[in-house]
Amino acid sequence: MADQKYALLVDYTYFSGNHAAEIACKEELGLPIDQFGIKEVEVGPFKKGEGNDGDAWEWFYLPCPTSIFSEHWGTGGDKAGQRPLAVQVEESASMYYGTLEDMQAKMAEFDRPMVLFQL
Amino acid sequence: MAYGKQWQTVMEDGTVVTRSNTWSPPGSHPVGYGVKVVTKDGELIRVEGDDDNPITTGRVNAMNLALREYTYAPSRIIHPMKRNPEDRGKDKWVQTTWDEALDTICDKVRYFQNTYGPESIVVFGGTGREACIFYYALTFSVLQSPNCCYTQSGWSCYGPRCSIADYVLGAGYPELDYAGHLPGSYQDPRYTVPKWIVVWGKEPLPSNGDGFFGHCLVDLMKLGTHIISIDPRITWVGAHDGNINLQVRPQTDTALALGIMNLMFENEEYDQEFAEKWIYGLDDMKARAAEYPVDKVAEITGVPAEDIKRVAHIVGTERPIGWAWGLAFDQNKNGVQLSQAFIILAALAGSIDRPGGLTLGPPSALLGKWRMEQRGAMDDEVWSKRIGAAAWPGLSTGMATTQPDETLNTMETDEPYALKMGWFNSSNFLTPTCSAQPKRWHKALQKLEFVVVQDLTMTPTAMAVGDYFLPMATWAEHNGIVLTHYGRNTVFMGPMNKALQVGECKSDVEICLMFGQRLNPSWWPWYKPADGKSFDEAALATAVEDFYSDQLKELGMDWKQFQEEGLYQPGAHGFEYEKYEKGLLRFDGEPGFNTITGQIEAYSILYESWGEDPLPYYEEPNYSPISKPDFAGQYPLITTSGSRRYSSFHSEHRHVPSLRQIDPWPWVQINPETAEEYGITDGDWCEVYNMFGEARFKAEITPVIKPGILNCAHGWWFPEQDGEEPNLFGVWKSNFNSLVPHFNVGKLGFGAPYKGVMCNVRRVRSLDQD
Repeated sequence: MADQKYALLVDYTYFSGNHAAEIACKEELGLPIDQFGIKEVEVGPFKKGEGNDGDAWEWFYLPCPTSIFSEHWGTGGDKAGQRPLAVQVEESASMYYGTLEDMQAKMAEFDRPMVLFQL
Repeated sequence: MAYGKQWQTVMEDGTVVTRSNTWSPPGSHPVGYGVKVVTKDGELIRVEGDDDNPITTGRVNAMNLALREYTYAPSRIIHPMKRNPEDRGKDKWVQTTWDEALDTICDKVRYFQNTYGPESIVVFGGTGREACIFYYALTFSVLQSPNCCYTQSGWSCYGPRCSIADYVLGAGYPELDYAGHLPGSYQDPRYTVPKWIVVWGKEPLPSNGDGFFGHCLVDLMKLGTHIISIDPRITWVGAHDGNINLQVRPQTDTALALGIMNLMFENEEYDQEFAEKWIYGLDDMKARAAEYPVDKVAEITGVPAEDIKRVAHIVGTERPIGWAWGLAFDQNKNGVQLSQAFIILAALAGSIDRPGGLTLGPPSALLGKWRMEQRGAMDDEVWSKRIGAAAWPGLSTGMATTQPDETLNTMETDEPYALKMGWFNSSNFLTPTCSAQPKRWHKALQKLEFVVVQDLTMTPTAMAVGDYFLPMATWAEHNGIVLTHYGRNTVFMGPMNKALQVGECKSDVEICLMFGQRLNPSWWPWYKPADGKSFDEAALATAVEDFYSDQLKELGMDWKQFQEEGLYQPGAHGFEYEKYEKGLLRFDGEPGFNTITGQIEAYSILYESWGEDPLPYYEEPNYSPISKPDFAGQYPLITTSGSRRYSSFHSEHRHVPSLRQIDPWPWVQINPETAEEYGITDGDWCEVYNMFGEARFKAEITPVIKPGILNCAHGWWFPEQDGEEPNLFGVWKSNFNSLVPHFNVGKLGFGAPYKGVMCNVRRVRSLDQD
């Protein structure tokens, strides 16, 4: 389907900020050093509660798909529907790629906050 | 895309896909990330994941994904090089051939062996790389010297933990059970997901220490495991909901371990059946632990008493408890006691060799065993000359190397004899990767008359002292075997399959085979060049396969079968839990542990015989503001170091653009309160200094570290800078190890304070300007 939509789903509670997806995109797409298909952003770490336990801290990463990523893996892209190397190699196994419908269904399987990027 | 399980596939368009497993050089400890190496016309296109690897399941770390950049980096050395010794420190290398290098180096080796004795040759082995298997053989059976040296003061990486496990536990390295040995992974019916994992002095996600696949912690957290993180920092893993952080003052971990243990005894919350049956010296241990009441321990460690009590209760009552111990156990003068206490804690928690707890390996297996057998190539007289062996039996019994600090003393004083020739096998230790006081080493190394360096890029160390440079192959450029934990607890093994050739680069085993054939053919019979002498590529390829086939005999396989098999997991070949109950740990086949008493020795017979306290105890670090109050005004802060990031394997990747982009400069983590006190803002260049030295870093202001504590990056040099002396790629500018004292080690010769020395910090204008 030419108008099929695709999405990247991120289980960002467990996405570890390991940079593998960034390097994988550069390698798979042959990007120059200053361009990214996936770029990670970090939120925190900051203290949000008393004590030092895990629930007192906020600290997560998000692997953000750039427009370069969407051009290849989004609607009509040359790699649409094919698993990106970034999704395969990401070390915390917390990125999923597929059709928008499949990713919406996948997201509903989780009972924790998730991020869905429509490409 | 998926390519299947066969070891090599040729696609219609000529693309070749080679299934392999990774082990530095470059990119990681022996994790054996399952990968597919994609090549075309002999060129590396990219590295992809191998979905069929049951442990890494397609996942690959950033450093291994950047292999193409590393492989074709302009600064990589791909032909043998030589330089006139008078030109050390100058970029006056000239290309030579393998035949010439072999002729000259072998002549030199024979000259030093005959003139000064084989002990005048010293091999410096690097950390974590495949060289860890081969530098022992290179020393003992190729060069026939007893002096194999890992230069880190107090041997402060992995070796201490292994030795203590050997002495106290009577088994190979105990590792967190993450089901790596089981074909069914976490779903294998023999496995139980741990309720809690104590992650202590270790950050395995970026470090993958010793081949342990760190991201298994994330897998297990997704399956419901909680983490108790014991670290001076809040780690990303520890910061997750439901996890517990004990933010310990650097180097006080042994007090914490004894405090937790005391509470378990006091409350009778421990596996009493196991303890009564298998712990030697239990009553003595109870009495010793009683000297560490929780309030005292809270004061020493800076960890609230309530948190210590909570952890003691969890460890004492929840099952199973997994354990992951890290580098902080080694980089501590009091670390021998910490490792001993850790093993006792794991035993009290009923974790020893049980599902979801700690797995045990036999003392040594496969290549680990072969590695240790190589010392047989020397007679006892030569072996007895090993530097520091007689003075440090507590180290030299567990390790086949020299005592590292003693080695520097020998080089500086020529006592008991002068070292004449050096061979660096994958070690860049002038860069702050291991040796303490690297400027002293730099000076002492200049006394060596002849120096060979094996490496992949021109490092500061090679530029400073090398006379010959032998270019090394990456993991994708040779055949080999990845085995986690270097054979001391082989969770799994996998083949490294040669996918391409670059220049004239050779692997560790190929270099051993070539030099062994010349220097000691009875120990190195595999390589048979056609004319007996000249370099013979086909004969070398056959020799590598024959060598590995011989090693694999005990598994009933040869190299070709292993290559097709793609992976060996002990769980598919008779692995059993609770080996101590089944007579599988001791050489006599009796139940129990392979110690003198047959039990886990809380009271160590060996420690006592070496003049050490047989029971664990806490000792205040001797470069802290508490133990050195006279210096507390000058150096009121404590700095730790050695933590890892995804962008480099120690000093390995500073020249790789996509990785350097992630961490462009050396960093120091500072708490916001401390930063404000010192007038430092985020991104400022700072100099961290103490009575031993100084080093520069960019400030990273973060609340994950407590006020008064710093955390400095290690492994930094600047490949983009002038490589010649005296700059040496800027190796002295951010050299954390300048701040670490020489020979400040524990009574057994192990443990130096890389993770905790007193210091001060000041803002400077830049890396080069005050």
